[in-house]
Amino acid sequence: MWAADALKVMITKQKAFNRAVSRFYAGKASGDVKIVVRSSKNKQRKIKIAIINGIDDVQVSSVAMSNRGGLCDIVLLRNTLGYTIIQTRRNGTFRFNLGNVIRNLRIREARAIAVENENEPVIIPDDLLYVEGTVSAAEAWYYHKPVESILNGSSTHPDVKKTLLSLPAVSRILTEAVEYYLSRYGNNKK
Amino acid sequence: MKELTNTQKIDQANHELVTHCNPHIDELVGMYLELREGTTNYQSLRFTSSNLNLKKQFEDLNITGIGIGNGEHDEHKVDGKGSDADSAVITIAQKLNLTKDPRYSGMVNYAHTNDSKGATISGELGTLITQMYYQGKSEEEVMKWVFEILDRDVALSNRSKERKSFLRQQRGNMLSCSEMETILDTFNHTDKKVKRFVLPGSFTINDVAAVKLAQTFGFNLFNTNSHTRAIFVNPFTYEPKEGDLCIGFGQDGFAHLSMEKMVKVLRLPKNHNYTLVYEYIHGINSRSGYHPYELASLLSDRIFEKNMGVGNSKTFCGQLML
Repeated sequence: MWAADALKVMITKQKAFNRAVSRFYAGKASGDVKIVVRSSKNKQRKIKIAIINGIDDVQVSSVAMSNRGGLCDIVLLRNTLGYTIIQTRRNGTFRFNLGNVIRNLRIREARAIAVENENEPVIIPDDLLYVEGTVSAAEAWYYHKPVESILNGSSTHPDVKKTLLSLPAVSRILTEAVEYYLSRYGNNKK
Repeated sequence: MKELTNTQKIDQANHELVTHCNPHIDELVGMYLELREGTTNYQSLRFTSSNLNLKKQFEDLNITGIGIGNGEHDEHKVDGKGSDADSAVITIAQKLNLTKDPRYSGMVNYAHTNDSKGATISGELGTLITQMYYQGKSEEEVMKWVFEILDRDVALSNRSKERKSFLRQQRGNMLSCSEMETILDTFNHTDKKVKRFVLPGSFTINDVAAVKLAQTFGFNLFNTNSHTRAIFVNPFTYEPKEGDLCIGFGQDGFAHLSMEKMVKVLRLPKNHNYTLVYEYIHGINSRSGYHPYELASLLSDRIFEKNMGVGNSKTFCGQLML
């Protein structure tokens, strides 16, 4: 049955989402899921970040950005294999710009590769630090500009190299970018 | 035709069309256009994972990469170089001069928008494709399913007014009933001794949804060994038999209730596994406009083609499964 198969897909999707909701709350209880909130100085603007560690179900990221997960603006998820993704939620017309995050990730990744290989780090030209797609000197990270997401591995490209950066390091880069944004633009009413 | 897992294996191939694992709607439509309208006679199709720049290797080995390989049909840039388009399908449509072709422009625009900006509703083709991979379907299965839809879209492309009006007509049916309550009620009253569920051959998405919902509650309607099962009939020639329960037609005395009412009457739990289907079907009933590539439209087209005997979409995709 053609349409039944399609509806089964929707039911499977819902089942997966419901499972991910349970995993999200279990993760909150166990400390695998942490919610970090950063506010502007005048407290008018808040950005909520979910930092998820050691969970292989990417749907948990969708849960974090949904009503049931507390409408997080940004999700940083690292699975058990060490692959890491950063996703953003569209809120009306706003979506957090990850330009500064990808810039710093690429610089730090290139340095980490140099340390591992015991050679001089590749200096990535300024005009490549923010570009969409991949930069060969830090090929672990793919920047998808239209939906503001940063991917290190995905179901379509499972053979990508794992990042050498630790989760706390990635998390720090992300929160610093959020703090910078809030200090610069967070006090504006618009 | 299974995936390559590393680049070394590529040298076994010649005149291949290659895309990445779990291809999205833009790569699938791109492959469809290239296979249907392109000049190259491909010997095989592959789904592969790759590391970075494969442009040189692809060129040397007569491989056309779609959404992969950093060539002209790969929107994933490396070091800022690569196609300027936001999706693979646009580059292929431009190359084949199909962006304004009425047979293909709809699918090209949809695939491009879905890939670059994301989906807008839950029953969209692009979303269904992504979820099929999560469900464990192979690339080949998904491609075959999508190509059949695209074949039909091309075959019916010159009948857009009729398709729209048929969909509006279908909407009337969609509004008329969901039989889920009847099914559940029947299971609660064993004295009715239902042996078969009988569905009209031209069933609506609402009827199908009812059956799917029944299955989520553990009723296996399609198990022929079971004492209850479902059959499809022509409502005009169907002769009732003892133990038949007609769904969506006939005068069997069962009330036709909307899905919304059904959920309330049965006090079904919120956030259950059926929620997405329920909300989608409910949305169909309350919306006035439909996306041409959403499930309701795709099903309507399928019935339209069957009922009217129009189009010639016979297994074009079958020829491409090398």
